[in-house]
Amino acid sequence: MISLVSIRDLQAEQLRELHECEGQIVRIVPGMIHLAWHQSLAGALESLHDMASRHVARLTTLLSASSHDASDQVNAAVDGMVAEIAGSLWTEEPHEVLDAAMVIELRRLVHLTMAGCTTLIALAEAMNDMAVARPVREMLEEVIDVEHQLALIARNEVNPDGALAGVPDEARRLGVGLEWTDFST
Amino acid sequence: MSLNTLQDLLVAQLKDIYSAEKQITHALPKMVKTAANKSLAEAFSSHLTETEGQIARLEEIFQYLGVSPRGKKCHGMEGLLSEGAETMEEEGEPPVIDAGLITDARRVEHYEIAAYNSTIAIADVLGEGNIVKLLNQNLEEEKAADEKLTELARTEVNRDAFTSAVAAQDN
Repeated sequence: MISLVSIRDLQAEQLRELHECEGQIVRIVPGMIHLAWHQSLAGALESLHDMASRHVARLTTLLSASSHDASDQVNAAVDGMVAEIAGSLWTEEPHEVLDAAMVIELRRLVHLTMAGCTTLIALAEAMNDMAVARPVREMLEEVIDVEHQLALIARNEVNPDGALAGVPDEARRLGVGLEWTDFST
Repeated sequence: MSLNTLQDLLVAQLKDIYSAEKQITHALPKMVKTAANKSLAEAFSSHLTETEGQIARLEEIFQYLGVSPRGKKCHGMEGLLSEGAETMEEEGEPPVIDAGLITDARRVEHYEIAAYNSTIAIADVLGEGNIVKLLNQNLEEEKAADEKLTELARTEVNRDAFTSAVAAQDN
C-alpha cells in the first residue's frame, strides 16, 4: 500500500496509473484492429495505438525524472475494463454490432485516460510543476481528439450500420425491418 | 449475453450502467465519512442523492423495455471502486487523502460519462427518444458532478494538500 503523505506521492501514483492505462491500450488495441470491420474504425484504432505508445514513452520519462519506477503498478480499474472488453468482444457477434461494442469499450478506457490527465494537470499546477503539467496537457489534447474521432465514427457509421444487423439484405434495400424489437413479448 | 442486434447491445449497456450506479450507491457513504474537507463531503453526499434518482430513471427505462435490469455486473466500475477503497485505507495527510478521493471519484464520473454518451448514441440511432431523454438527464448530472469535483480540487483540496506538505517539511 502506498502512503499518501504528500501531494508528490499522489502525483507519482497518478503517473503510474496513467502509464498502466496507456500500456493496456497498447496491448489490447492490435487485436481490435484485426476485428474492426469498418475501415474508418481500424484507422482510428491505429491512431489510438500510436498515440498510446508515444504516451507510454513520455510517462516513463516523467516517472524516471521523478525517480519512480513504472513497472510495479497494477490498476484494478483498468483490469476491470479489460475484463469487460475480453468478455464482450471475442465472441461470434455480427461484425456491425461488434464494431459498436468495441467503440463503447474503448471510449471508456479513453475517458479514463482523460480523467487521469486532467487530474495530473491539476496536481502539477497546484505545485507549479510545469515539467509535468505541460507534457500531460499535450497528451490530454491528443486523447480528446481521439475521443471525438471515436464518437463521430460511432454516430455516422458504426451505430447506423449496427442498427441493420440481422436485417436481410433485401429488407435493407427496401428500408424495412428497422423497427424496435418488442422485448415484452 | 449474445449481441446479435444493436438492441441487444443497448440492453447490455443499460444493464452495465445500472450495475455501475448500484455499486456507486454502496461506495459513496464511506467516501462521505472519509472526506476531511467539508465541501467535498457535501459534494459526495449530494451525488449519492443524485445517483439514487439516476437509478430510478434507469428502472423506468427497463420497465418501458420490459426487461429486467439485473443479470450483468460492471467489472469496470468494480475495479474503479476497489481503487477508491484502497485510497480510503491509505495512511497519510487528510488533505492529500482528499485529493486522492477526488482523483478516484473523477475517474468514476468519466467512466459514467463515456458509458452514457455511448448508450445515448445507440438509443438515438434506434429512434428511442424517451430513452435518450432520460439518459441525457443522467449524463448532465454526471458532467456537473465532474465539474464540481474539478473546481473543488483546483480551488481548495489540491492547494490544501500542497500547503500541508510544505508545512510538514518546515516542521
